[in-house]
Amino acid sequence: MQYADHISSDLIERFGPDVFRHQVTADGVLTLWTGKENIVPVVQYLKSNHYPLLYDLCGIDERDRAGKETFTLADFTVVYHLFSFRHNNFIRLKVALSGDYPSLPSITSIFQNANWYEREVYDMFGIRFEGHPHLQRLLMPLTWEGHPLRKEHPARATEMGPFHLYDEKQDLEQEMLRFKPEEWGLQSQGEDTDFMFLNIGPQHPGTHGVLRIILQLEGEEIVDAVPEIGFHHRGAEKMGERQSWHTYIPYTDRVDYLGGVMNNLAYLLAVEEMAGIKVPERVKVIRVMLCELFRINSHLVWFGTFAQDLGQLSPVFYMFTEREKIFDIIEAVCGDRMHPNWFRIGGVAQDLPKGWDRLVREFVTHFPKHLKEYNDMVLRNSLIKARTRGIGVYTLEEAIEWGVTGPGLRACGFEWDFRKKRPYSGYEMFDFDIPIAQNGDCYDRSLVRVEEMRQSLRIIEQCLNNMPEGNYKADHPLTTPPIKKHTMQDIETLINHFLNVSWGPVIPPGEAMSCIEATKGANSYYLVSDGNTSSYRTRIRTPSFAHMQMVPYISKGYTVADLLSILGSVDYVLADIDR
Amino acid sequence: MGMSLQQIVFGVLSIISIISALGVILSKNPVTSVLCLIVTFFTIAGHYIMLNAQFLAVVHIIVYAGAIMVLFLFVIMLMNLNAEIEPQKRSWLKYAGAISGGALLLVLLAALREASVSSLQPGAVEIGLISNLGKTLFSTYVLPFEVSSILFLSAMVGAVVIGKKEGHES
Amino acid sequence: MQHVWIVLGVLFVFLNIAAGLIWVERRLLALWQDRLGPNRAGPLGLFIVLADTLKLFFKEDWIPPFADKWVFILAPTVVVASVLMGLAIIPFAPGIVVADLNVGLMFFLAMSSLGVYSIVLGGWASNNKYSLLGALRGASQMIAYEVFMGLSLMGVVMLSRSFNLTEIVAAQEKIWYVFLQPVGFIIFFIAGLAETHRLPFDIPEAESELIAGFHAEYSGMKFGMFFIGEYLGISLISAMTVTLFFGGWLGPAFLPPVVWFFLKTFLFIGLFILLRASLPRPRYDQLMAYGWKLLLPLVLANLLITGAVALWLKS
Repeated sequence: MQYADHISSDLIERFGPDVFRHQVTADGVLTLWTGKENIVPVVQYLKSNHYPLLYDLCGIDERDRAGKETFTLADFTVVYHLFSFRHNNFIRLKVALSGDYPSLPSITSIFQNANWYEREVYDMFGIRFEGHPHLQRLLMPLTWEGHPLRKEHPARATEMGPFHLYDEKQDLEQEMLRFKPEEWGLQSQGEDTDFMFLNIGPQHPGTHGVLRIILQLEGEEIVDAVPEIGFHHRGAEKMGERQSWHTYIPYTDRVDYLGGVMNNLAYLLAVEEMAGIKVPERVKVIRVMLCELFRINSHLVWFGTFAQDLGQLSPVFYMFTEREKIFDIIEAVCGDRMHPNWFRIGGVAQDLPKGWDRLVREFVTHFPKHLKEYNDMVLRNSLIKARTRGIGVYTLEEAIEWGVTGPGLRACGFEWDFRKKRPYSGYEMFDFDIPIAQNGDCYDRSLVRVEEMRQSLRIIEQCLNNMPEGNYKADHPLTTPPIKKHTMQDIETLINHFLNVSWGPVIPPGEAMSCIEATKGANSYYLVSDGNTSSYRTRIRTPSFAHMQMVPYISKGYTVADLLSILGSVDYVLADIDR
Repeated sequence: MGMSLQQIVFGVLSIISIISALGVILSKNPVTSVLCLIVTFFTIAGHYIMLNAQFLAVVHIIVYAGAIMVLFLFVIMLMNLNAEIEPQKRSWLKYAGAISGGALLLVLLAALREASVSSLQPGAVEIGLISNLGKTLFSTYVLPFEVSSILFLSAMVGAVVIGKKEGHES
Repeated sequence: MQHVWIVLGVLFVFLNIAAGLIWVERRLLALWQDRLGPNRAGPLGLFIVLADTLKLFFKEDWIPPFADKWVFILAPTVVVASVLMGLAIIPFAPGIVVADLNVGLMFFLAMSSLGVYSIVLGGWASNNKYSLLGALRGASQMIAYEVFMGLSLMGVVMLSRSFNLTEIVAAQEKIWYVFLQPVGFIIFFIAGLAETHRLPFDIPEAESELIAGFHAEYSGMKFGMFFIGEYLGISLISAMTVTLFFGGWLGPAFLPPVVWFFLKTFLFIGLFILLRASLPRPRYDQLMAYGWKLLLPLVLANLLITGAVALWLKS
């Protein structure tokens, strides 16, 4: 907090007092408004002053905002989130833009990873970035009409006219499918060679989902790679604007579909921050336990599929057997397996069932032995080592430049874990280590993940042994579903209950961003409320998006076979990229 | 007609080998040419077997069909040659080819005109067998044999050197 | 007449083994991977063989319009034909052999060197980039490992002083060559894996990279031919390993020679499948480096030492 004041006065001193306006937010992140003419120098200044990470960049359509705050006078806002590792501090910059299709300068010259973020904002809002090298739609098809996150764009298919595929439209769509290397920023000929273009995907066993990577090959060597994403785009952010705060929870489950309730947590932390809900200790520990079970679960899927990408057929079966045991626990607790939708605003859906501790204890006792066996089978295999050591290397500086978080960052020798450094949901109460590795290659990323499973197990064991007594839900009027004992007292409480059940709770106006260490890296929900029963803007910052953007950079010069090692070691989920 | 089985086999093999050899030079598609050449090699291996030179037949298949022609195919695949992109040959090249081919034919005819077909001697029948071949190579022809192996070795070294150099430049 | 029966018998037995391997491989993989495998059709799921074969026969036998039609059809037949020819020289028991050639071993090498055509032609004719990459990988892999395979067998030839497989088996009456030629055996088996392009050397197919590599465009029974060719190849390499290094039909008298032969062969087929269940796939250049930089010196040293010892014992 002190550092926020310091950097704030520092900025004012440097750029003058009229350049910035300060905004108070629920999450306490230093939020400064500035004009679009200042954004490039300010970002440049912050980057060279210990804010090396462009954490997120998103837009907001402000035109429908109820009770516009004094700050949002304009039609659109572009929001920049920068992060300082040294001072463990976020800073949020906002640029107000007027006009129907406004524009502002691009910061791609400062941050490499701004590229995709700016393209996404353009795709979703129609805001143009001047100086962007390749400003083209990112998630939506190139033939899409309109910009989905603008408020006038329909949120449901039923709000749009019926779909017709006219001949001209079909011809157009067919023509758009024709591959022209130049449109992707690729050259078809080198100095003395013709390049070969190879489509990895959209249907390919190695891409782990609907992802297309266009490879520019010389022989089998990768000259350049261009990922095409968006096949899995379901408009998760748009849905946030039409679902109530409560009914949006199941949608979050499906963003990082291997992370299960961990997505609920990222969302709810932001909601609870705005609502001012403090959850009981028991809720924290239950949430942590479930999240860590899901972390192991996700890492197991990664472990198995990673081995399979390298040609080892058996591990995936062992991993899925193990995963099944975790699902047994999750099913007993939540009643569902992959998408339990089990956390609630201010708590969890139910208390832990009788006998949960026996199930968890059984798992905690048996798993380490099995994990060691799997580790011997995969990571100590010399062929696996040969395939992954020195492949897909990036340095710590490159990782930060591209917005890498999670195990990928820790594999560069940087001990950074949001659970430890910015504890949330009671992680400060737990005793665990941050595993790191030094080389930043595929092998080291794998080592970190395997060790993380052991650490997660430690956390689960502590949850098991120290589960606090108490309520599984906060005693707060905005919790969902509302607490029954507060109703049936008079007409007012009854109506309140009725409204909270039927419309859902009204979260007070404001904004907040959560930041959790999800299975694959830093996951955030940046929520803006204008005092309604649903969010005004839901922004999901996912780790996979940033990591996928880096794949071309780290796969150049390697072979097609190496690309599979790299994709496997990056550990992404397509729904987490495309949302 | 009274042809023996051997004669029938010989005739069939010869006809196939001539047809496939013509296919090599007449086919527009290089892959078809290569396939025809492989067939030719097989028929020639068949002739070796008829001469009771089993070892030669098998080595012929291993070396020519199994290794050299695979490399040919390999190169054709890599260069993506086909009839459309084959450059038009100049007309004087065609004439030159016809003349030199004709000259070669003349020489062959002149040489073979005097030749008489000697009947196979019983001793020669066994020469193609592996132990006899080995003995001959390592006694009578030991010097030429070793010299040719040195030639191969130097060719191998040369290939490696050429390959290495290109690798460094690029 | 007896000879015709032998030919038909060998064909029948090996085609059945190849088909049966569909079931064997799946069940064994399942066993090693903690799962059940096919167990529904017939006793122990044995009818999966029938179901699979029927399925292949009834699938649309599609030739892609962009493919080179005749070469596309030719490719899968080459693999089956060459492997079946290779099986002709294997002595299953005293007197039970299709062709008792005096250059049997060389004939085997010649036939296995032809197998590469199916990959090269299939990959090229498919006119698909994945197939082409698979074909290129396959061609260089198979040509390279051909060399080591041939050289690894020369030690056996030196010891038995014959290229004839029946004589080689007979020469192992006292001691199996696996004990005299352990390096030769290991390299032969590795090269055999590479020749049949089975995991860990399934680089021409490399499911997670090249989808199915050279046979990505094949369907129906033409794919089935590649499939059978692969299983026949496994059987052939296993049978050759047994013949050359494990005394062929030799074994204690309480079982007939043919039974001994097939028992040993099935052990090696099982080993093939176990390797598939356990090992990852090296990268293409690693495989080549492994061959040229490790196997080649090793096999040459083996050859020299064997030759020296053989000469020393003789003098």
